[in-house]
Amino acid sequence: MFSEVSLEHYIGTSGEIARLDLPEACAIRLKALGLFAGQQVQLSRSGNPLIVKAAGGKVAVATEIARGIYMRVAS
Amino acid sequence: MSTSVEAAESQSGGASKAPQTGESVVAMLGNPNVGKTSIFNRLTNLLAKTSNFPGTTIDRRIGRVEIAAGQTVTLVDLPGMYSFEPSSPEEQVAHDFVAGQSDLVPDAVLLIVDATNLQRTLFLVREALQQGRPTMVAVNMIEAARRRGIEIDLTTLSRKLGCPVVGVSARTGEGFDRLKSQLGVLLSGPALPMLIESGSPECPPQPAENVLAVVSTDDESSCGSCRVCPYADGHQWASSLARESIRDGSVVSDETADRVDRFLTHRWFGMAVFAAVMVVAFSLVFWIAQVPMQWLDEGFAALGAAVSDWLPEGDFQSLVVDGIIGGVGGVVVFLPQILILFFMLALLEDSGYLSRAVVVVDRWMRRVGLPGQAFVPLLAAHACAIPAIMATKVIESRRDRLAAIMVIPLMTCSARLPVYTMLAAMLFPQNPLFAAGLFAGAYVLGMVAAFVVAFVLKLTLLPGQPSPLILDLPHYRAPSIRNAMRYSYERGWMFLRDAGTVILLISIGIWALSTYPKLSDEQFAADLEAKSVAAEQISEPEMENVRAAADQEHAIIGRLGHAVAPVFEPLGFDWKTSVGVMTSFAAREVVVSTLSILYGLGPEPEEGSTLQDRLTAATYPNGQKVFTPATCVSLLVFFVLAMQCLPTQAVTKKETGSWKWAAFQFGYMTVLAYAAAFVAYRTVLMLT
Repeated sequence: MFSEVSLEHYIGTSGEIARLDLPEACAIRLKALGLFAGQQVQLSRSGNPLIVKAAGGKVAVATEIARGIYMRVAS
Repeated sequence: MSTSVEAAESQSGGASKAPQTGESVVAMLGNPNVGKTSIFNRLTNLLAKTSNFPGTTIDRRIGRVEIAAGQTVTLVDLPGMYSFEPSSPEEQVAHDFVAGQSDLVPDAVLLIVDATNLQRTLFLVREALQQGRPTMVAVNMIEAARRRGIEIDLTTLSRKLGCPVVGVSARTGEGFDRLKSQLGVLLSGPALPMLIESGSPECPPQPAENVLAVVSTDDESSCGSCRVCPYADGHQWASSLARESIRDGSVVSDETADRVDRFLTHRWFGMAVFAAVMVVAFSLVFWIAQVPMQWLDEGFAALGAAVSDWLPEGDFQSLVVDGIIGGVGGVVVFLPQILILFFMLALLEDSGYLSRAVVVVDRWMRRVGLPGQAFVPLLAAHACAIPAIMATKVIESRRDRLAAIMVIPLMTCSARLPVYTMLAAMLFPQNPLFAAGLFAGAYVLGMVAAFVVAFVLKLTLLPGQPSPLILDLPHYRAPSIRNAMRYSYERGWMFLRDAGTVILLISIGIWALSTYPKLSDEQFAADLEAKSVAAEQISEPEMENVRAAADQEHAIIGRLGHAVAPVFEPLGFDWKTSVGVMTSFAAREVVVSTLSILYGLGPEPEEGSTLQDRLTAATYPNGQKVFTPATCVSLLVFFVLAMQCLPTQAVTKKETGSWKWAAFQFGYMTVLAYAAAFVAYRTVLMLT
């Protein structure tokens, strides 16, 4: 069984994105940068902004964005 | 093979020229930071700004390149984009151009990818190939990849993509001849899919494993399932292709970069590093520029003296020596600082550090109501506010954009540097460290003022929260000295061009206003009598000085100066400085040329004396110094905060669509500058 937690509150250094719940323009930008549902990501920096590693790159996202990125966690 | 340059449409909004009839148009496309502009510059010999920072190119640039004898193509450098589903205005520009929804229709697409990060940059390639235009891929930074142990199999990549692939290095020029020749082949050859030569006479050319064949054809409108999500498909494909194309399949460890990132973006260390980098950069600017500036200053002084000896005494001599050499020379001496400052800023940008600086400052920027995306324009404003205001196009929210536009002119632009340098040198003539500190302090004051104003705007005229940050962090790389030199040369040239045109004309105008109407001998005698001065009691040199001062006060500028002097008197300015403030409303640096002319035309300066010498020695009739520490600080604060730039006002009007915002910007900055200068003057007076 899996549940979801927002990236803002995610504990761990890596994981899988479950879904994006963000305005369309933000979601498109994130997906183009390699942050999409099913993608494995690594957390490189916590805090605000936090830094996520995915698809060969690093992306800094503000807490407001991280709140709309849901990570898959085992429940 | 030679290249030629026809036209460039840059960030500053220069007009583009249409390609000549029958000339092919090639669109250059790629992610931000993959080196498009560097390749464009090398191909066309243009001097467009490059950096390791997203959003540097916000509009298209057009240049021409001769790819073979008699065959010239028009090259269009498009803003960086991450996907063909635009999520920002600059991506829309690139998308529309490649889709043929612009005034020019591309005949081919030149895609640039980063050899050091194929996985990320290949994603766009697949989407670009889907557009169906003849396409070629240039794998840039091939030498940097090699240094990191990444060997890319270009033949495999070409076969998989179904289009020509060339390895290039914009830094060293490697692969550029092949890039041009392949571009010629692409434009004259068959459209996709391409046949790839096997390299062996026995084997016929092989059809490419065209990427289009693996693109999902399912309904891609939703991303609910990764099996049909084009982004998931695309990134997985890019990842797989990158693995197959890297010959030894090795993955370069980026642990070191991660460690550096953790340090540079640390909540407190990051701020300390940011502050240290800025102070060191400005100190170096001040120290290194000292000697060449002194040479230039002494050179102009010597030139003025030589021309004075050569030309017969009179108005023409005064025009050349005091108006032209004094006015323009007073500004040109600051060229070394401008060259060094922009060289260092270019190195910092190119290294990838500035993106980390955004991570550090974003938190603070958002608190005062500025979005993270405003960092790029705010940084660009240190060169000039005009392209910076235009660069706010990358900010989608109108509220965020207006907030950024309103505070951008508070950043220290290059036009302020001559004023800062002049005043820092006057305050600390023997102490470069303190002078550098004052210089950095002026920069900090501008930034702090921008943040305070943004916060006040957030509480009043522009309520609401700024858009949250999403920023692609580029890989660190060794900055290109060549690019930095080109950029610094470009900025220096722009500065000299302004000095040779706008400042020259204003200098001549100020000279005329400070020379005419002439004071007749009778008027001078009456003037002396009115002041109860007996001509016989003063020496001849003193009399010459008294006459020169009387001439200047009698001229139009003297009368204007005396009329406005009461307004600026509370700030400690004399009438000549007040005139300088007034004349510099059009352009800030004009205050230096104005002071240079007014203090050069007045009481006879010593032969060969520099502007700094003359200003330091200037006194009121009662013998009190004109430029006291309090006056210098007050003048510095005024110029840090005042608008003083008509072209910027015009651009503000254009970008906000209203004179109302331009007038507000001018008004609040003038009031702020006056009030802050008054406080600074009174404070320093109390302390000294």
